[in-house]
Amino acid sequence: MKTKRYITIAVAAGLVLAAAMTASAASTAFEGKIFDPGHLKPRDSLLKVKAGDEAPDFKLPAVYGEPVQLSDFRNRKNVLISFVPAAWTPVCSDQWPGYNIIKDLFDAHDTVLIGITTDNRPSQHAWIQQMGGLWFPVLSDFWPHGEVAERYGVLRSDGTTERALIFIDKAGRIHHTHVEDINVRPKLELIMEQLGRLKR
Amino acid sequence: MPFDRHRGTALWVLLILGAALPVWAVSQTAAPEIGDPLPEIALPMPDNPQQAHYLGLDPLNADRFDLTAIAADLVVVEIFSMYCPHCQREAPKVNTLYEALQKRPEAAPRIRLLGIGVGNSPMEVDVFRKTYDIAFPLFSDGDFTIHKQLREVRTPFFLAFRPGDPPPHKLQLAHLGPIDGVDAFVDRLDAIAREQTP
Repeated sequence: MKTKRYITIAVAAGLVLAAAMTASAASTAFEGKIFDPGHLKPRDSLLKVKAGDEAPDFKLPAVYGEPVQLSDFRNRKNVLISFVPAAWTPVCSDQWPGYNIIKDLFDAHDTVLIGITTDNRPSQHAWIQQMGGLWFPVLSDFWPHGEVAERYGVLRSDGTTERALIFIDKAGRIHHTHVEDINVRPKLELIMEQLGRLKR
Repeated sequence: MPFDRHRGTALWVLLILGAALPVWAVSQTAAPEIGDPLPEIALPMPDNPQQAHYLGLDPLNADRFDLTAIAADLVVVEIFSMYCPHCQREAPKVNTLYEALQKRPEAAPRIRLLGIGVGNSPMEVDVFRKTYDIAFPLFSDGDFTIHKQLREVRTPFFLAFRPGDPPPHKLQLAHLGPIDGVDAFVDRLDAIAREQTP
């Protein structure tokens, strides 16, 4: 029994080291400003929505401008909600800046992109400024903390959200859901494939 | 006894991992430097024959090539990501760098420029290429293999080496972050290209 335990400890230590070595490409734009939480449990919640469901409506404060209500886009635009876990973390800071250069692709698919985190607006503001600005609205699900994330089933036990993409059609129905391993950025191919399936 | 042997092995593994972790952690924060050996980097042959020609490669000869096979006095590689704000802001300046290198006199050292998108799929690299109308060759490092070879360096990062040097080829330039001025950078590259390996 003890022999097995020692072998298990050694293997586990190896896995921890391997996990810690997971690669991410950090921009010099964030040098010295990123908090690295290390390798996290890939998923820590259970989705509460599925394709075909009516997307739970919400109204959340935006970092800039008026609050944004999901139902305002009904019959007008498709919507992609990008939940990211937290501001000032490695993978999140290596995700939205990429969406910043593909507005034309969202426009071509008549789709609005909405970013949501459970951070408060001052933190989101500082983070967005460090990115050099974003063209899409970023909403704060800070208070009541994570209420919208919880309704979608993407709130993690530590108060952050999953790295989730929720595609919603013009009728306000969930078209597709994708919850990525929190340690990994979703590939652009996935987004483009699902945008291509939404009616323009 | 078998128990002691297993326990000893397990403890040795833990000790080695414990010793390796700080070394690895330091390596993650230290960008490659001038004089470091160039890792062995193989890339797919460009689909575009003009880009293969630009790199002095024969597209009919192989489907992959080693960086050191590029026919040039100096090869400059930009490590970038489409998700990196500084790379995005830098892209027009790097295009200017490419144009400036192309406009140099025939007699000037032959300097070739290419980019590697770390953690970027071919589609993501293509988006970056089209967004910034980039004419020099770009390659995908979708699974971070090359990025890991370069100690997971931050982006953008510029390295340069002389293919004509004897192996192991040493980095002659290791520049982290944006380029200050294109003209000064071209002069620096030109000087490096003219240097001889002792």
